[in-house]
Order: sequence, then structure tokens, then C-alpha cells
Amino acid sequence: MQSMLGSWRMATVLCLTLASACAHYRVQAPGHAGAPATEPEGEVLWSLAWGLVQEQPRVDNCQGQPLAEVNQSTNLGFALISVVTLGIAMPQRVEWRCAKAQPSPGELGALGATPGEVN
Amino acid sequence: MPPIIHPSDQKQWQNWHETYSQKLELLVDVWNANASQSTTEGYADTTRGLQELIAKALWEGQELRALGAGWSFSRAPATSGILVNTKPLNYVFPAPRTHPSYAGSREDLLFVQCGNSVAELNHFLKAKMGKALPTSGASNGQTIAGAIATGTHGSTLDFGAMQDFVAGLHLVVSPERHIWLERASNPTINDDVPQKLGAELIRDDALFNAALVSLGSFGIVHGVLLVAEDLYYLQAYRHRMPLTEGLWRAMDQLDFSGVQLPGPAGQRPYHFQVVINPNDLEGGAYVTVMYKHAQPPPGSKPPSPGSKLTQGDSALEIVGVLTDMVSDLTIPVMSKLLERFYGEFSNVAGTPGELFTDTTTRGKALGSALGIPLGQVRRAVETAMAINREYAFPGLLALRYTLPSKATLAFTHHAPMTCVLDIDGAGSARTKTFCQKVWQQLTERQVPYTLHWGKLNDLDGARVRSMYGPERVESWRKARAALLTSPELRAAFTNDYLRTLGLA
Ligand SMILES: Cc1cc2nc3c(=O)[nH]c(=O)nc-3n(C[C@H](O)[C@H](O)[C@H](O)COP(=O)(O)OP(=O)(O)OC[C@H]3O[C@@H](n4cnc5c(N)ncnc54)[C@H](O)[C@@H]3O)c2cc1C
Repeated sequence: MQSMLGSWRMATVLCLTLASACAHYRVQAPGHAGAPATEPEGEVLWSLAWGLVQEQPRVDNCQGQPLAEVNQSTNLGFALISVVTLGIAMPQRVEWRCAKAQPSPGELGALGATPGEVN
Repeated sequence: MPPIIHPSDQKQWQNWHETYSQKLELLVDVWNANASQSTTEGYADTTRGLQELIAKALWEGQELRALGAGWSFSRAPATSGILVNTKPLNYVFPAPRTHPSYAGSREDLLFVQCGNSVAELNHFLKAKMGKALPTSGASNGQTIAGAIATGTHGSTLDFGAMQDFVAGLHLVVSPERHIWLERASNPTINDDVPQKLGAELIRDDALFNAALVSLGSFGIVHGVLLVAEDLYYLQAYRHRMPLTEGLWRAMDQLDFSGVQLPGPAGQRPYHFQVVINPNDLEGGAYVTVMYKHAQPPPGSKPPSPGSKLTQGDSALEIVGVLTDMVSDLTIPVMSKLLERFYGEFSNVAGTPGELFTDTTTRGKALGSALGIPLGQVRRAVETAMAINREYAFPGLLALRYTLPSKATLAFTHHAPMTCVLDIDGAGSARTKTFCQKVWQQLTERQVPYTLHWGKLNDLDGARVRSMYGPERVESWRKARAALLTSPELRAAFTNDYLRTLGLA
């Protein structure tokens, strides 16, 4: 009974550890350019054969705008896969947020309005 | 051209500080079809796109909610239905034509789409109009619609909260109807403008005041008409000062007669803020004051860009930055880091946009804010400090002040001035429990207070009614029913948060 409880505990600790990110990097554009337009989108990307084959993220949600922020993270699970496969397979999670457009100002009411009328 | 409505694959959404996540049916980003040029046609097309989303929600029997920056700690922006990300909507229209009876200057007006962040507004107002916002929160990532929806405030002694510089709202309330709403007592926009947008023009003080702090429940705010000010500079000082009777009087009643504030003698500050580390009272409180000027005063220094904490930062930003440095923020570590990074300074002058600036922290801080009338502030702070002696938490207390807001459900409505007591700590069960203990004690001691809608709170229908009084609550609900005219529409713009608050 004792040992079963012990292995449950071990398993729980292991699960929690595996789930938690052990390395996390964020690159964010400075100033108002870093104000993101979107919520984070992400993918797990695999680097295979010691980096010979590298997956690229499919960024299809930015509507032509640049990225405001990129996050890269690995966790113990990913690290274990890398170690067990001797670096043949190295997964990591990449997330991004798109930047906002920077529209030029418009004139409100210009839709067929008579210009020049003030106050 | 219709807007781009981009569905995401996500079935789960998390707020900025990752204090909760919410399962949802659909998250969509809405982009103007032509994102690079603000045009009335593009704006009108996007209005129709938002109406189609409302039609979809009604058709599918889903709830629908507009999302700003997701900076709220509360579940105000969360929905299990359709979450509409409005951040990409950032058209700007300076100086719209005004109503013949409008007494202000047209040049101060700026009509903006809902997704403009405070940072973007600061930048645009300064660079293109030579103007500034009269007030903002301590940092600048909120969208304008999101900020006003929960009543975001700063610490300006001569102004209210952010919704108090709003003169008009463009609300999309149904698949067939969108409304330009402003006060009857202060008509601002020329009637032509709403007409050109195809919006129904309603001038009504009660409806307008209710729709300002809407908690996202009055339809989608598509556009906001702001009244800005000529660009100004704030000359800032921060000194650590002992908690003397004079300083207590300043904090409790804004009576500065018994205290020598940093900066030019005898001048009333424009901005006054006190940060107290309840675990280190020996060295005194951190008092930040700012004086308003048309130009940077001679001899003043500009704010240093890129420093971890800036002159305008308040407790939440401090805790955020410190928890970023040290993941397990213990009390001694907190006090040490605070001393090192939240230092004293004198005579630094910058625009509001330079002083109340970016924060990049997330995930580790948690905040609650109580609105307290003047005269009750000392009791409230002493209550919190007494609780901290029994149940110490690694966090800070901060005091900020605003004039009472006209918005029906502004938590900063206490006259003649509302003091906001921020309680900010590491995102932990201890911080939550600490806040709960303070709320409970204040209730037991009959100290009147309200709670920030966008921060940690434990409000329910009964507490909301006792805090705001049944009249305010009923007038808010009546206004909502006047704009969202069918039960189906009201159901669509409801979420769990609103139901918990007894406001649905
Ligand atoms: C780091 C940090 C610092 C903060 N500092 C301060 C401060 O100094 N002072 C202060 O008062 N508060 C402060 N807050 C709280 C914050 O200002 C509020 O929670 C604010 O509402 C967040 O704005 P948002 O754009 O993130 O909106 P969200 O959190 O996304 O949404 C808030 C509400 O607005 C609604 N909403 C958003 N957009 C629309 C729209 N287009 N139409 C209709 N409804 C909409 C949502 O449905 C929701 O009900 C801070 C929060 C953080 C995380």
C-alpha cells in the first residue's frame, strides 16, 4: 500500500515537472510597436537530424503585419525526448503575436460630406 | 470591403496575467479590410462585419463578447461563446466636426476605433496632434474600449478616470442597429457624422453614463470619441518619507498642509501616489508627486527609457517586474529588490505617455483595487497593515486618487474624491487570501468601499447592490435594456461574470 502511494506521488511529481516549462524566452518589439494585435498562436516545432531538418511555423494570422512578439519554450518532456533520441529529434514550442497595423489618420464623415464646415 | 474575420483554432483563452483560462466556442480576430488607412467607408464596413458576428451569435444561441488587451484579472472579458478580438481595430480620426453648441475645441477631439491601445493613443496624440490624454492607468497596454469598460483610473488629482474624457460612444448593439451615444447635456458631434456612419444618434445622459463602464455588456463598442488636452509635461519626484501624522493627513484627506512634499514648495501636485511596503515601514512610504507644466521645466531630466521601472509605475508594475526577476518572491527579497529598483528621484519631466509607459510583465502578479472615500483612507490602510502583521503577504499597498466619475457603475464614484487602495502581490493563494481578509474586515468595520471591476474581486449581486445602491444598479440595467432591446440580445452580451454580479 505504502509503495503504491509512493509511486503515485512520484508519478504526480513527474507529471507536474514534465508539464512545467523549464526554459522560456520572449522577444518583444519595444514601445507602441510591441502592442500586439492578436492573442498568442503557437505550434510545436521539431528539429530533426541534429538540425538538418527544421520545421517552420505557419504564421497565417497576421494579415500582412509583422510579428510583435515571439515566445519560445521547452519543458522537461521536450528535453527528455532530445536526450533519449541523442538530439535526433528536438521539439520546442513557438508562440507568436502579430503586430498592429499603423493606419494613417482619416477624416470622419468624409463619406460624401461637405468639407470645410466647422463647429 | 468587409473586414477580415479570422477564426483561431484555439478553444481555450487565457487572460494576459494567466490568472485563469476559459474554454470557448470560437475566438476571432477582426481586422479592417484596409488596415493601413483610416477611412469612413472602411469603418462603416467593419461595423457591418461586427453586426454579422452578432447575427451569428444570435443564430447559434451563443454568447458574444468583445476582447480588449485581456489585461483584466477578473473574468470581465471571458466567455464560453464567441470572443471577438478587437485589438486589430485601430483607425484614428482626429478633429471630427462638432455640434454647433459644443463649447470645446474641435482640435482636442479624437475619434478612435475600439482596439487602439493606450500606448498607441499616447503616441498618436503627441506625434500628430500635439495633445495628450488627461489621465491613464500606470501602464499603457489596455485598449481604449477595454480600459473604460472597467473604469481604469490613474492618480490625477484634477481629473476623473479614463471614461471621464470620453464624449461619445459608437455602439454596435444588434444585427440591424448601431448607435452614436453622447450626453444630451453636452452634445459634441455634428449630427452629420453619425448620419454618415449610418448610426442612430441618441443624446441621453443616463444611457451614456451607464454605457461608459459597461463591462462589455452594452454591445460592441466600435468607436470612442475622446477629448484630449494640449500636450503637457509632468515634473516628477519620488522620495521615501516617514509615515508621520502629516503624511497620514495627506493620504486620508489630501490635506497637504502638514507635509513637505518633494518638489517646488507650496504647489499642489497634479499627480499624487503613495506606495507602502507593509513589511518594511521603517524606511517610510514611497511618495511620488508630479506637477503639470506646458513645457519641461528648465533643468529637469528626461525619463530614462528602457529602465525596469519608470517614474509613473505603481504597485502592480513593481510587483510584476520584481516577480520577473525572482520567481519566488519572499518578503525579505521583495523589500531588498524594492529598495534597489524603486528608487528615489527628483526633477524628472516627461509627457504622460513617457511616464505611464510599457509593462512587459505577465503571469506572476495579482492585483485588487478598492475605491474608498476620502476620510476613510487611513482606517482602510491601517486595517490592511494590521492584517499583514498577522498574515504577512509579499506585496504592496498603493494609494492613488481621482475625482469622482460620472459613469453610473464607476468604482471611483466616491465624492469629493476617490482614493484607490491597490493591493498588489505575487500571483499566489496568499495574495488572494490577504485581499479577502481586507475586504471582509473593512465590511465588518463598516468602511465604505467599492472594488475595481477589472481586478481581483469577490463580488456577487448582493454585494454589488450594497456597494452601489439599488438605484444605480437599476439605472444601469434599465439603460442596458434600452439599448439591447430584446432578451436574446441581452443574453448574447452576458457572461458568467455579469451573472455572478447580478447585473445580467
Ligand atoms: C499590468 C496591469 C496594470 C494595470 N494598471 C491599472 C491601473 O493603473 N489603473 C486601473 O484602473 N486598472 C489597471 N489595470 C486593470 C486594467 O486597466 C483593466 O482591467 C482594463 O479593463 C483592461 O483593459 P483591456 O483592454 O485589457 O480589456 P479586457 O481586460 O480585455 O476587457 C475588459 C472589459 O472590456 C470589455 N471590452 C473590451 N473591448 C471592448 C469593446 N470593443 N466593446 C465592448 N466591450 C469591450 C470586455 O468585454 C471586458 O468586459 C491594470 C492591469 C494590468 C494587467
